Amino acid sequence: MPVTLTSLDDVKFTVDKDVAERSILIKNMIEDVGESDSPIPLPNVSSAVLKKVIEYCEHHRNDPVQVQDETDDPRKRSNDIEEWDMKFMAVDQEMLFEIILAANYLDIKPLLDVGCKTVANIIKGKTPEEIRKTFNIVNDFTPEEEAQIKKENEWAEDR
Amino acid sequence: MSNVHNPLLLAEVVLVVANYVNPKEAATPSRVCRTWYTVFRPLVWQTCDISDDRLRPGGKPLGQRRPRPKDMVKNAHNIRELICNGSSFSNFEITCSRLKTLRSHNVIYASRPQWWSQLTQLLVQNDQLETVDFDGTREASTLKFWEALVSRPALKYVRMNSVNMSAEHFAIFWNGCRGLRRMELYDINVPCTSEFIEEQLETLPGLEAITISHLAATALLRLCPGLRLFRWQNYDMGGNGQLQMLAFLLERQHFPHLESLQVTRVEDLELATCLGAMDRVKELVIEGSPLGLQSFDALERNFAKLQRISLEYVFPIPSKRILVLLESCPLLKYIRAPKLKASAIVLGKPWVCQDLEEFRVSILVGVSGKTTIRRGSQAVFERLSKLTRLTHLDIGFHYMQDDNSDSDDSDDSDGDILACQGLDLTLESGFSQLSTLKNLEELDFSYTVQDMSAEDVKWIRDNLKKLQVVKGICNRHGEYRDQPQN
Repeated sequence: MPVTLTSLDDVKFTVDKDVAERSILIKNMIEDVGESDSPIPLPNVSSAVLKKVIEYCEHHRNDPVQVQDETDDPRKRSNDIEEWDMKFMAVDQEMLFEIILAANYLDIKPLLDVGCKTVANIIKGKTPEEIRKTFNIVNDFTPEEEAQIKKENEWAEDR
Repeated sequence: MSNVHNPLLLAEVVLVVANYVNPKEAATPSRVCRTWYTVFRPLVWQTCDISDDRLRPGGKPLGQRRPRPKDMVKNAHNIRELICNGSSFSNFEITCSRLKTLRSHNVIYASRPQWWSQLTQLLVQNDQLETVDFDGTREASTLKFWEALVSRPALKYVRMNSVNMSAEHFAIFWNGCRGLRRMELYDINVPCTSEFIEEQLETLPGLEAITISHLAATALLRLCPGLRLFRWQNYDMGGNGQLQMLAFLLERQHFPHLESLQVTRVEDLELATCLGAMDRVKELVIEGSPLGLQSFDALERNFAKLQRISLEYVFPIPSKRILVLLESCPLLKYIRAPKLKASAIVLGKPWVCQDLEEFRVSILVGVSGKTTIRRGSQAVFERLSKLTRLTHLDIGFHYMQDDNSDSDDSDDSDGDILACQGLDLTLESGFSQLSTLKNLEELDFSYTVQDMSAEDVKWIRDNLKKLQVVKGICNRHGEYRDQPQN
């Protein structure tokens, strides 16, 4: 049973239901609305990004649904990104941000994870200023706060 | 165009990013902006080391900084693992109450009159403790301390070293640890008899792993029917009859879950008896004694199940015996052994250990000329290339000794062992076959003589993408690399 999704800029995408339901948001909307042909509006996602998201969901349509594990040991979490995902995430930063925002809004945890792993790999080894420049983040500390925090966490650098 | 705003300013997104950042690298991201500070700060303080004792085993490098005391108080609620030692108590006000792990060390047998009351205080403050790892002092432990320790409801793992305690205290400890899964007792002085153990101590059915170095092992083991791992660590020169008693026990009492045995300085027959009495052997660690013929035979029955084997400071041991492990143990994940000759590898059978993750064996290639070394290395690389799950490859000459252990090998044309070379890690010797080792994280060729070119080094960087640690000297010009690298 196909499902139609409408992007911010009014472009319609028809996808299989199981692909669309990789997004928990969409899954819940479908359950609430019941059987219906009417398209699902996604006013927060542009067509360019939605196209990418659908591509991801189609490739991963048969992946087992991840179970949230509260006792997950962070040190065991691998920063491995499989090859297809790596190629998929080889986009410019603007698109990277859009994908992360979309994954967050649409509640597609694996896609959010991949996007965030990508960010984690990028920030590795960078100074705070380099991280800010890379991601257009404004430094909202006062100079005193900044100095204070630097001193507070200094012991933990280069462990 | 959708509303472009920066997802990395949303705390919920930064939180997911932080999940994939090593806590040791959380300090820098915490300085980016206010949102990042809020998210990364708990990670920074998750493990806090306020010890300054550089002499303790595994002590941190000189000059390692400690937090400022006032910052530690401010962040006490974020600390889950605290590492401290004697002087920490006078330099810091330790207000932590959410610790899961406490590691509190001393210079062995130091005199610290306040130690036990300070430790007791810390225990009482923290009721989520799961791991407590501590050293004793010259002063005897106190009743209050043991009562505080066993009343930690979530306690799973206790490691103690150099502790003086009375038999009564030991009984309180032993009987009080209902939920304990692992126990390590190093150098514990308890004046108690086997009768005392039999009469006063209770069975601990939940205990899975125990390490003992001095106590009456046999009597205690009788109380641990659920044991999965037994580690006997005793470096006394005079040898010991403890394992003989263990063998005796294992023959009479069934330990259905026992599958891991770790021993130091044991006799072949004793070890063989222990191995023979176990239902299965998944892990065997031997330090300081040979893997004798009888033990080897007893181990052979377990080849199909063996997952980990470590033979350290173990002499003599012929190459063939080590090789057989690689050729016969399909589930092998970890192997550490003194040395292996390339000639034996070449003449041997294919290796069945497809899932091997850590290979730590010095490999000797013959001395008679560059061609032999190239050919020998080529053949060994071919074997190693099949181990696609390998994460750690250590072929360094960490502990070389001429021991004639290979004198019973039929092919002994390699001559004087001390003059043997290690593997030649160059492209000319077929090193590129290791391109299949996509998961390799560590490569160690310390103390081998290499003559690598820039091209060889570049090949490593380009092909072994997951490599993080490289140890060894690349060529005569002393290019020395020992670094965690990105």
